[in-house]
Amino acid sequence: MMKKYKPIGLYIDDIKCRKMLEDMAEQGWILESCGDSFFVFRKGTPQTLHYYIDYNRSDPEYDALLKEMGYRFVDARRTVRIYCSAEELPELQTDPVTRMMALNELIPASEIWFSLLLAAVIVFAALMTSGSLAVDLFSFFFHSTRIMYRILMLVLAGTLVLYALLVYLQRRSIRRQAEGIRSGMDFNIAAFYFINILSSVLLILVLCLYWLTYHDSLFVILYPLLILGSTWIARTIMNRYISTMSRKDKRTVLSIILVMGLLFFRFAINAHLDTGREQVRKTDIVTYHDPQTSLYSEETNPILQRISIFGADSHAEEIAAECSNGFVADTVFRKLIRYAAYMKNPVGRDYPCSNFTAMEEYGHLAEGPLPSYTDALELFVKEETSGAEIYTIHDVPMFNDIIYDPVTGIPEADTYVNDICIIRKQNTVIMIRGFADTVQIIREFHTK
Amino acid sequence: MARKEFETLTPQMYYTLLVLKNPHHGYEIMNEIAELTDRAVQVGAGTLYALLPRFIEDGYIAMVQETDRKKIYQITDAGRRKLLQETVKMERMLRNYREVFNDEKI
Repeated sequence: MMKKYKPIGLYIDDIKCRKMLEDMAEQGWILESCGDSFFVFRKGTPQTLHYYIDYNRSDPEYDALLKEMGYRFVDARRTVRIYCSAEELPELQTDPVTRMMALNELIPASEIWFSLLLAAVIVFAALMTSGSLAVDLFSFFFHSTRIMYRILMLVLAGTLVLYALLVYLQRRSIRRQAEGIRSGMDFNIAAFYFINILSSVLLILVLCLYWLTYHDSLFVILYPLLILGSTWIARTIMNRYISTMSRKDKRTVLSIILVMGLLFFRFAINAHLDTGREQVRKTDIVTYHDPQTSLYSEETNPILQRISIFGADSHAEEIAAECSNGFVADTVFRKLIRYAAYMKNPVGRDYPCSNFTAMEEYGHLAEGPLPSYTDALELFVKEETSGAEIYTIHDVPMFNDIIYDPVTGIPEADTYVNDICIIRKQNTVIMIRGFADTVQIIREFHTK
Repeated sequence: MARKEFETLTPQMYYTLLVLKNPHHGYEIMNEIAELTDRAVQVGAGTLYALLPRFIEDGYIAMVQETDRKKIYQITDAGRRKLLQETVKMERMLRNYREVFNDEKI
């Protein structure tokens, strides 16, 4: 069945709205329903229909009365109810003052504040994720959805601000009706189009960004769609049922939504969506082809590699991330640089870090902020070889690797400190920690 | 607490309160007003049912009976005082009119 759609913005102007509906009926388009954004018309025979708009809540006695008088209910948006009839019936609204009184209650000012407040809550929750991303890189290395989380949340907050603006413009338009100024049909429709298109464009941009970053993970597209879809559903439900709720009920529902929004956005960042596994991959343990070293890994800790050099044992840790694109690789690289720099000067801790796994603890408990990327980079020595950039930081204090002389009990020199080496090879980022000579060997293996 | 829209009653509001001297339900109110004014004032269903709950909120009328889904309303003392207030205003207007135009033929 053919359908036509017209934007709903007009519904607050009864004269223009009724004229539009009646004109459409003359052309054969009969109003079927009104949703959150559009009037929906279905194709029928061209006929003369009279439309009436009412602002009262549904009530058994009142509904029966209207039905008896011949007004046929079509659909409602909030407390604006549309009736039609084939014959001309007495006007429903005979007092302009009373009509304005009812219309003023249509869109409460609280919606503006509520949208802005929710936007602020979301921005706050998004900004709060700065610490946990570092944790992600070590303990949840494969859950890179959170790299884009903040961007999505900020865009969502942006659309809420735009919605608040739309509500403000509609309220202004209603106020001006009371003063006898009817906004041009163009204004209502233009505002509606402008704001909704802008919101949609923002959201589509975010989805494209997601696609470009995680192009082989369909689920990561569904995650933002889930958030956006639920806000759209919430708005549609709100517009349909808000007219049947009393003021006290409305406040209760909105408070519940606000609290749930807070909780949802605070804990959504901890949602372990099993996505992005392909984006950041740990490399397989390889054998270093050097007659003087043998390499094996301890199964209990897949990132620990124990290297035997010249017959002596030496520890090293390696994390490698094969990222699907430069953006993810950049993000991982920058975080690792900042973490290594932090390990060299751990602010707010009275003992150094022991190993990468302990840095997971750091992510939670770091009392000082990570140094900025530019500050951190200064601590590194940079070398470039073909196809790889190597950043090395020396003399990082590492607690567990101190080797004590079995006789004297005195710690041996050079066992206090480690080197950390971060290698960037196109979209692969490797971080190696160990004694200087061990790190050197592994480094050469990666970059030859 | 009273709405600012009710500070000066419009004719529609005035007549609604007026006919509620006796208890009536919604549809009866509309008919009473049309009869009383010889169809000069017609109150639409939408307007009437917008006024009734708001009059109740402001204390001008009260629901005196609820039978069989039909609610019956009647004016309260506060409503009577409001009507009187408005009537006094209108009487003054009439008086001033006659003073100004002094039985001139218009």
